[in-house]
Amino acid sequence: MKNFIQTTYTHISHTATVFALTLLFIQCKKDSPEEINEEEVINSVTLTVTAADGSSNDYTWNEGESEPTITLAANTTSNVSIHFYDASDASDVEDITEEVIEEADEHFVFYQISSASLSIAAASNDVEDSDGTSINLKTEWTAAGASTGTVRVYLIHEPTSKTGTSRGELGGSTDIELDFPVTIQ
Amino acid sequence: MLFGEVFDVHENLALEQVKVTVVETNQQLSTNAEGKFLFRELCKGQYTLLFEHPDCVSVTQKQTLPVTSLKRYFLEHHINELEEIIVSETSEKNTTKTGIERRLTEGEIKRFRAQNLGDALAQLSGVSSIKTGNAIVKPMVHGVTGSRLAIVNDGIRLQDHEWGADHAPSIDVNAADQVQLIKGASALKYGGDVLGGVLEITPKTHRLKDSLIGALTTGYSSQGQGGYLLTNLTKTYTSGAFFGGATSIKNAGDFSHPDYALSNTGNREQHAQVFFGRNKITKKWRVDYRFYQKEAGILSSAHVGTVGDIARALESDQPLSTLPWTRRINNPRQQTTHHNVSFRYDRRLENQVKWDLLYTYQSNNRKEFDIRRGEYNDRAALDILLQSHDLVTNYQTAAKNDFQWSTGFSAQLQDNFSDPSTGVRRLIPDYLRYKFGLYWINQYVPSNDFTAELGLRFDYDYLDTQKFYKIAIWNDRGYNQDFASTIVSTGNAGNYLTRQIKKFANFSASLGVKQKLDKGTVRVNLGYITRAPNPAELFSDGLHHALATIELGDLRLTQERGLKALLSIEKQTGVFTYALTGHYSSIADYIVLQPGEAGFDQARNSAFLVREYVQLPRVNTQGIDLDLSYQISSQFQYKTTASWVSIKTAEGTPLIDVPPLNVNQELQFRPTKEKPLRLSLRNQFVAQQKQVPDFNFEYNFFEDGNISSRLVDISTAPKAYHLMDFSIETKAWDRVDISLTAENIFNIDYRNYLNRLRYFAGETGRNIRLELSYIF
Repeated sequence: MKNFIQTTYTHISHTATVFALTLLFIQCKKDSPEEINEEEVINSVTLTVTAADGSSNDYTWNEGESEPTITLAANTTSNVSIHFYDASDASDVEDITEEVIEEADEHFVFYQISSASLSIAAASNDVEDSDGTSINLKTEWTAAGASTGTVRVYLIHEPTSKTGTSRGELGGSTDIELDFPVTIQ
Repeated sequence: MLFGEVFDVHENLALEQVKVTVVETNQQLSTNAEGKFLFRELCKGQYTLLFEHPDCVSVTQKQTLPVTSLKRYFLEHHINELEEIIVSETSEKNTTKTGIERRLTEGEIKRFRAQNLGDALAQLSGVSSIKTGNAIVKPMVHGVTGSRLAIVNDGIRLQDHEWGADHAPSIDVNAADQVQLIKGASALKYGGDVLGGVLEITPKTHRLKDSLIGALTTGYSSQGQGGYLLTNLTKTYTSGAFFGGATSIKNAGDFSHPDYALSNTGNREQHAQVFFGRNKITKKWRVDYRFYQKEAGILSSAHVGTVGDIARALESDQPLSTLPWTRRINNPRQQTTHHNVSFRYDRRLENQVKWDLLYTYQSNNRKEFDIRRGEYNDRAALDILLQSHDLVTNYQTAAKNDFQWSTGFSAQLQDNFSDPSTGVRRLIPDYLRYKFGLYWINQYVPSNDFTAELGLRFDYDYLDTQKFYKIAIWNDRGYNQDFASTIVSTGNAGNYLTRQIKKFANFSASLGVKQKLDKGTVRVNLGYITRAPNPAELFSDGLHHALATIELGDLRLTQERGLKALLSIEKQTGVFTYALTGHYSSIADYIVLQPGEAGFDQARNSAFLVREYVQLPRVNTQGIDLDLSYQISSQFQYKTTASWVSIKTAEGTPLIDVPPLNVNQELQFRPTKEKPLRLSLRNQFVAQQKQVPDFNFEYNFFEDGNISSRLVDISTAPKAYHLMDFSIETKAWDRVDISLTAENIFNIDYRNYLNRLRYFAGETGRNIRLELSYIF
């Protein structure tokens, strides 16, 4: 029994020494983490609508708000340009559109129209990718008779195709998907 | 005068008929029945004693006289017998005396060496795997995974951010010599918080002979045009010294479904290991270094930006993004790098007294790359480094009056660092974690037929976290009232820096009984489990792009506690063997990730699904595992494993990601005993999971110029399926094994409920694999 106690004691004391030494070697303080300012989110989208008469209106959606109604005059064509922003810091708003233009090959803006008598086509001064495909940052909206409806706008990242009539045909992932109500009067 | 006795070192028995010679004086005599001997006529001085016994290794020992008391000398058995003792002691030995344990056979480990550990483990009854695509495979036991499951590598738990569903264990199948599963919480030695069980990986114990053994294996898989090269080499000596190493390199390009390509599903895996040590009968030590790195592409169509992308993917039979085949891995992808340094010392004393000391340092770096814009595209969106130091010691006392107890102590220091250069909010904050554990297990073995085991464990978990909270979220969650004192400072980007100190004291217990019957064994196991919430559950705060989901932790979470009972009836001898295990558990304050109140992130205009960690007052689990084997004739063997599990809240709502009923069957044919030819046909049946929670949501689809709101069914599980595999193995030449395997022979199109990417694409089609192995 004595022998047993002795060996047990030896082992326990050895173990304790090893533990104590290990803990001594380990520093137990950690630096304060650095704050991260996310710079890639798109939380604000503006549609600038320039009517045929030259008057211009901004329709802006901000994160957490619902999309504003876009008003167009019947039987006219308006020029619409779309801009994407990171407005996390109100005093330093980042224009993400520039990055979209730089990476025109990897981006595509896609519009879908419901109900309203409206057609949307790329404008002649639109940004083109390396294949010469317009990516729909600048578009022409041709309104017919008075009606109401919705324009859905998508910003697609890495689309597998830039031709198609439904969102599914284009592949890639959706960075932005917004439904703007439209009134043609 | 010299009065001594000679004992056998491992049996602690007196050795009779040992020839003792005093070399200097040439005096000689033999030990009596009590192992004692007495030389009366010896003067002061130094002598050399030679002990000889037909079964033992001869030993010479110096002895200085005079000695006052009875001296004890030890002899060791011959090498062959020693080897038997050393090898049988460590291999094929159960970790617990009464626990319900299952082991992967060498053949099963071999068969999966080209794949993932999770795939190999899924061969065991009660184990399934939760997947993210085809390359990220995580084991699940009795329907639970993550922190409710311990993966123990050579005595120490693997620390690799194990909580995430897309975080597969950082270990290569090729590094796993022996794999066993201990179901339930009976292995208190490794922790009292495992509801599922412990998956234990142990290295082989090397033989005590001069030998050089190794293998060189290479193979090719048609899926992904994958190739692999595996090597291992071990040199051993009769002295017990050994050293060796192993490497694996695996490389595959895009996988494919029977009808379409699965873009960006390639993966690379590298593993290297070196070890050395020495095995002796009373002492063993081993130093090990392991490196593991894996890079896996995430199915490109699974990279979704909005809930709409999920809705559209679900309505399409085919993935919405398919790209030309490539071996390149693009974003999104993940890369894990794991280093593991361990030292282990084992001491064996008389009377089965054992003591060991283990130390392990683990470094686990996990990087996730997303599809981003500009310079960010080359920068990881998640980059976390987890470093852990673990120190464990175990002690087993001598058996006395049918009782034997063992005890152990463990300490852990863990440091997690999230690299801020990602430019993305930290999913997991920086923290330091200290853990201490103490256990005590008492065995009662009154007869050969009956064993009872009682275990108690206490753990203390201290978590010191520094975390940023967006002020809006902080207030929204009501933390401004309950945790105001934890705010350290207010940052410039609209965040509070807070310091969260969490302390948990966990108590767990286990009671096991084993009774041998005429033809089988009955085991009963009861466990009381306490699990502290892990850092992901407490602090998660970020976006999971693969599922367009925002995951939010909760500072208010407390421990989950519960009971798990297992009953197993086994018959392990004869041509017909089986093991039937039933399990039941009831857990209070069970932590799950489920849709938040709103279901969507309202702030971001329903772009993302929101999942929050919440505690359910009570969750009950029950299930049955079956293992069955029948030696039909000397040529044919039939084997089956089946498992069924149900996990529901007390109100009867099923939990998500619970494996459906699955049955694996195998028929093996060996035409003759002489020829090493073996054919096997396997079938896997997976039923449809009907017990699913309703997480469906409404989405406004845009069709033919109209917006229509429809329900998006993300809840219903995929249909049942059958898969057939076939393999043929033989010796091509003297030292060369060859095998040909066909998986999913009929190129079945199916989806797996436990694959988190099942919304976006089906599973892989047929795979043909050819493997050559040179053994020396």
